Amino acid sequence: MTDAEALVFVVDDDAPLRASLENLLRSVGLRVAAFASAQEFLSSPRPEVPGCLVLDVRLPGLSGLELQQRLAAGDLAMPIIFITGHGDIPMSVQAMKAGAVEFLTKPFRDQDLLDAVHQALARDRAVREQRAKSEELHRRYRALTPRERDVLARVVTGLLNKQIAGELGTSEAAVKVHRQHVMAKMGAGSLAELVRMADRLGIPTPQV
Amino acid sequence: MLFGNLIMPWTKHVRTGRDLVRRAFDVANAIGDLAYATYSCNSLITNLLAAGDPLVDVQREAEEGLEFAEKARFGLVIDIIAVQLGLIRTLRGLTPIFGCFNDERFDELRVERRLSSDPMLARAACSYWMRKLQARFFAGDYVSAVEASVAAQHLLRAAPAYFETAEAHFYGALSHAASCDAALPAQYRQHVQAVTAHHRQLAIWAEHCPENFENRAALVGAEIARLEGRELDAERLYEQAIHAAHANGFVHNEAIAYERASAFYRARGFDEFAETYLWKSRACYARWGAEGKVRHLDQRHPHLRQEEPAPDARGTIGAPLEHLELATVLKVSQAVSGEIVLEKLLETLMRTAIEHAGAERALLILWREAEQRIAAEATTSSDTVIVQLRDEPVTASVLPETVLRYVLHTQESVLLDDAATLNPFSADPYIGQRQARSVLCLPLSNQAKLIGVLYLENNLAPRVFAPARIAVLTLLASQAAISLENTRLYRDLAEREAKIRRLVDANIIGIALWDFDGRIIEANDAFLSLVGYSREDLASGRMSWPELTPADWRAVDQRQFAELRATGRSAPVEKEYVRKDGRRAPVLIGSALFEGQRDAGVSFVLDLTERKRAEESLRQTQAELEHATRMQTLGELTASIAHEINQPLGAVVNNASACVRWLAAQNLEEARRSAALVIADGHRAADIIGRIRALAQKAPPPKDWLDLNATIRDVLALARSAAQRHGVAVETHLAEPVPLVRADRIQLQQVLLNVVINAIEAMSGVGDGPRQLVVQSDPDTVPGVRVTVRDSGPGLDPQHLDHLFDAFYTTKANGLGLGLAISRRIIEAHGGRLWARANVPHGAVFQFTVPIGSEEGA
Repeated sequence: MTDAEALVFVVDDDAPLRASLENLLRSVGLRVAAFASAQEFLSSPRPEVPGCLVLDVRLPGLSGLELQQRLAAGDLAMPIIFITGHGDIPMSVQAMKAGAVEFLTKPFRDQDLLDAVHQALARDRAVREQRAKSEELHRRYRALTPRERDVLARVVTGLLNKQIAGELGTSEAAVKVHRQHVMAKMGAGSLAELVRMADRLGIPTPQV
Repeated sequence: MLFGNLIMPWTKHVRTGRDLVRRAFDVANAIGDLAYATYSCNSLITNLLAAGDPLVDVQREAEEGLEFAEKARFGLVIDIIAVQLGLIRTLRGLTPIFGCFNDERFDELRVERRLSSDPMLARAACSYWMRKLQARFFAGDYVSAVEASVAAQHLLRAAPAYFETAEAHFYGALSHAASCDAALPAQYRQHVQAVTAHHRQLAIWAEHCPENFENRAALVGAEIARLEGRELDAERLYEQAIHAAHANGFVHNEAIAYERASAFYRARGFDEFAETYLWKSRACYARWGAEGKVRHLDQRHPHLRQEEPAPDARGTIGAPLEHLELATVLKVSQAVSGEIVLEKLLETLMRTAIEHAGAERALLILWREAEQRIAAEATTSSDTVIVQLRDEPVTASVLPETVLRYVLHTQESVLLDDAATLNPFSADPYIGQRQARSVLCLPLSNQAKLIGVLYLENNLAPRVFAPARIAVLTLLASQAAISLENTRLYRDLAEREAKIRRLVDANIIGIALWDFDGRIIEANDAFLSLVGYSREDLASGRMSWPELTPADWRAVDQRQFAELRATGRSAPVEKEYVRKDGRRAPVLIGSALFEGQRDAGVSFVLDLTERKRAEESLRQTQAELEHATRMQTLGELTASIAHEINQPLGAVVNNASACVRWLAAQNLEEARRSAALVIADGHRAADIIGRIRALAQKAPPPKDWLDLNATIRDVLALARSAAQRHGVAVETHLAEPVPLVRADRIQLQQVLLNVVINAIEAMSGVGDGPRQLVVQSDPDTVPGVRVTVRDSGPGLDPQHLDHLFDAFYTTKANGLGLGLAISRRIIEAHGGRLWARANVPHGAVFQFTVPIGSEEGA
């Protein structure tokens, strides 16, 4: 994924300002999607690309901060950069505590905004990568047979093949075969890696 | 002296030797012969006594002589003069008991014991007994008189040549003769012998000196004739004695002669003669000054008193009866009508009534709430009249009620010459119980209205209340009635005045009395403290209305006076006084003229200082509140404006940045587009400002023809409290007239207020230099008005003079720095100029001009 694919969302009810933001962002080669209100933004489709949100605090209807909360609650979280015409300290503190990347007062230096946007996009990219990895892992896990899952669960607890065979009521050789299949399907290069994967997947320890 | 006292009396009239005696004293005193000088003193007194000089004078001589003798410490003369003085005093009635020397200074027993104990004091003792003889004789105590005479005779050897000897014989004879009436046969013979012996001596002396002795001898002869029953001789001799005494000016001997003659006639039943002679005797004693003897006579013979001496005069002597009555009437009338205080009036009335009427007891009955009550009672005891004010109900035991009822009913007086005899009121229990004799009951009426009753009685003798006296008493009664009414009116008046006085002295409100000349006649303490003057200032007449009123309130004063003159009163109005210390005192004042006296009046003045202070405090709080509100609004406004402006400004920055980047990326098309956006955003910003300004000025400013002087005065009135608070004195020099200018009143007020308040606040830091603000208006060369505001503050920093009118330039801690900038804009919008320079010697001068303007001008 490259920056060219990233998308910056801009929400501000002041049209000229919205246009100027769009202009600025495009001038550094970023793609922009601008909306006049939080509602408009929420009801539009979200492409699966790294993105961030440049958001005016004061908006008609749903306010900037409320949108922040809504996004955080849902699964649509993305990094937010707040902009405002007022120098509102309590508001800024609240926004930052809730996880905003930056809080800028108009008129702001162009560089400040661009830096914040890049930072936000980087964050979002990282998040997405993380998510993608997680999904891959789950997919691989789902591809395992039940028996293979059993073996996996026991292997990561440090049990020997012999022990596993004993627990499962099968032969050690069978266990070895299953183990090899698990390693291949999961794509783990070592036992340690497999253990990490199992952690990430949150596989429960089997009851003995 | 010797000649004068020892020799001359035997041959010439006593008085002729007197000058010699006096000269003797002077010479002796001059050469320092104290013994002789003191002898002269007592000789003089003997002389005076023998001559019958007025006793008041003799007493004075005796007291002086005694003092001299005491200084000289000449015991013998001291004793002699002391006794002489004793005789004089008792004759004058100055001793408690008439005829006895005893008083605080003199004790007869002690003196007698001392004198008899020492044979060397024989001369003094002799003198003593002689004088005692005289005293006792006058008192009618013949037994003691005879004793004294005998004692004196024994010691006569010691003082044969002194004139007192003659007196001893004279009085001795008379005493013996008088004793005969009550004497037993054996004593009778002794007395007659003594009288005869004395008479023989007197007769011899009479031959040698008839002036002195004819009267004395004759009187004694008369007594002898009386005793021997030779009535015609006695009559003749009494006349001779009287006559001779009178001819030679011996008023005391004349008195004695009359007295003895009176007794003679009375004994023989010639009551009329006796009365007349007794009266004449009394008159002579009175002339002599022997008040004691006079009183003694009066007590024995009450009807003798035909006149009463006025409360403070003892000198009505020798005048005929009718004249006495008139004088009495006048005195009485004056005494009673002169009293305005009730208690004193009652006392004077009662005392007068008793003394004049010769009553023993008097009661005054007055009406009190429709009931008769005894208001006063007077009684005589020995020689004094005691008046007691009472408030008791009338009962049968204090006076004969039937008499009182009669008087009440008929309003006529009742006189009972002798209540013991049969009369219409005999049945009254009081009369029987008290054995009343003379009774007189008078109504006191004023204009036919009965207001009281005066009751008099004398139960010692009948017919005391002589008809002539009753006329005077009636006059007294009517006078008393009037006076009683007057005292009542006076007391009501005093009460009313006291009520008003209470109001004035309560000092709830200031009260002042004044006249149209501007004087302040009287004021209470509240008023004085209000204007800061002392009571001395008021008393000295230093206070006047015009001084109290400051110049700017004179108009109000004029209006008040006009109202007063027109209607007699002026409604309460607010004004200010200037106190003695220069401070102003806000007051509420209402006035009224006095009835009848149309050039003087009274004012009620209420101090409004507290109220004004409260109002001022309220105003200040309100102003602060308004200011705070304005500040808050301004804050809100500023925030709104800031937000509004930040939007387009933000867009400008973004677009311009984008433009720079497009150029770097060599995308000219986008760069151009960005620049255009910047321009558009800039315009938008300007529009927003324009909208905001339009918001502030909803309506176009009203321009009207304005009198700047009026504006200046209005603004100074607004700023007055601020000026007062900072102790700034404000002066105006406004040119009259000043051309009208076409301007927005509120805006010009704003400019003026801004400049004035700046000046006042600048001066608030000045230490103790003068804080003076001067506002001036003049016509300007360009047709218009120039206004100048000068202050005596620290002045302007020359470095910042250029920036004074810049926006946001301020030297104040919490100032916006907009005042002068806005003021200049307003003035320039009117076509004028606003500038500042330094004041001399220090301070700042702000000036602005406002041209007349025109109808078309904006």
